[in-house]
Amino acid sequence: MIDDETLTLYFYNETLTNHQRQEVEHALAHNSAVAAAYAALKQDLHALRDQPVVRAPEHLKYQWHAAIDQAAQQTPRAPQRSRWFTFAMGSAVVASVLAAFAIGTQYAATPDAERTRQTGVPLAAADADHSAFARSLQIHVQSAAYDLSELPDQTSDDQSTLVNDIVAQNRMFERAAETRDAPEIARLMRAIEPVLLRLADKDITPQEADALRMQLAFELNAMLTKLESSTSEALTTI
Amino acid sequence: MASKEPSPQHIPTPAEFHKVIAERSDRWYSACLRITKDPDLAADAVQDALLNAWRKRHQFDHNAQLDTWIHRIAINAALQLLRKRKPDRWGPMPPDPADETSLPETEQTTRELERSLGTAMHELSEMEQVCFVLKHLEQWRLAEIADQLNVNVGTIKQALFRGVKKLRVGMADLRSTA
Repeated sequence: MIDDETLTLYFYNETLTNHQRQEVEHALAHNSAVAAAYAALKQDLHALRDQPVVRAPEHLKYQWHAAIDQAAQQTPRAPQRSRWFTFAMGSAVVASVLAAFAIGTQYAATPDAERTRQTGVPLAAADADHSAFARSLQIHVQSAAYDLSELPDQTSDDQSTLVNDIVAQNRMFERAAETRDAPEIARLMRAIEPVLLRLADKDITPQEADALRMQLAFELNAMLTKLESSTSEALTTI
Repeated sequence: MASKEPSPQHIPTPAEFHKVIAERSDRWYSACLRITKDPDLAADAVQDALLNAWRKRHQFDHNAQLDTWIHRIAINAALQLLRKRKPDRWGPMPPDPADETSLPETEQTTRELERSLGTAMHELSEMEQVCFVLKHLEQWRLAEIADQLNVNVGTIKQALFRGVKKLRVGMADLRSTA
């Protein structure tokens, strides 16, 4: 008779020789008691895979975010980049900051009951999730600002790589906003992308940059006005 | 067959770390908690893992997922913290009381009736719990577990068999009382 221990090793595909595996397979095919024992074992082990995920307390998540921030800040600093590039990237970062503010505002402006109904997730869990999301977006903006201001002067190819990196991160947040059923936020992230790219272009004139910044400010202000129903609680969300 | 072009190395940015913390840290914490059974140790393990991953971010394999890489580092950190707390904890397995029939029949019956899956998890010894979590939930190979815990594969198998046996008893009790 094949014992439970051998069946367990067979289930995990561990340490049995080819000969032992063949013995198990023969028994499974020809011995109904062994087949029943293995079916029961499999059922139990599959059931044991469904372990609940224990949520980490929010204060720990903030602590972990802060630990990464601190570690990133301890990275050796490089010489300042050119004034023009800093200006262009600064504009890009401001756009992201405003987007982050808009996210916090929209989230706080949504009634609790509506948020619970939309997501089907208990409110406390949804709050924690959105809080972590908003926090990570804010930190993304901060770290982008840090990266942009601290990198040394580079070729236009390197600048391109840097901007593409920021855009790629914006896209990640855009997708995250979509999965959190926040289409307005996702749209905003999409809308600012071409502006970010153009602002970072080396051949952009100061006049064009100024116009783009005004356009960007207008779009974001319109979004902020639309979400004006926010209260002071909105500011604490981010 | 066309050879695969190596993609340029990607070093994870702070923003990517923040994103995976926001999205996956519950799973890291949960896994570490199952191993340590101690919320403080689990929290420390995750933080140690994040800082280790940050320091070693240049070694990150860009074909891998950042969250699974940190998950693995967190498990190792949890095991390391357990080991630090009691260096000789991964010794040979003591005899399993469940294999003996020394308990009076009524007491044995009462104990078994009180069992549920949740309590059965708590009834696993530390070695059984760690081996079960690493093998069953984290899907490590037995040899990897033995290497990590610095014991032989036979000891790992023994702990795994006992852990599975206790958990199945717990599940059977759950079914019978349902």
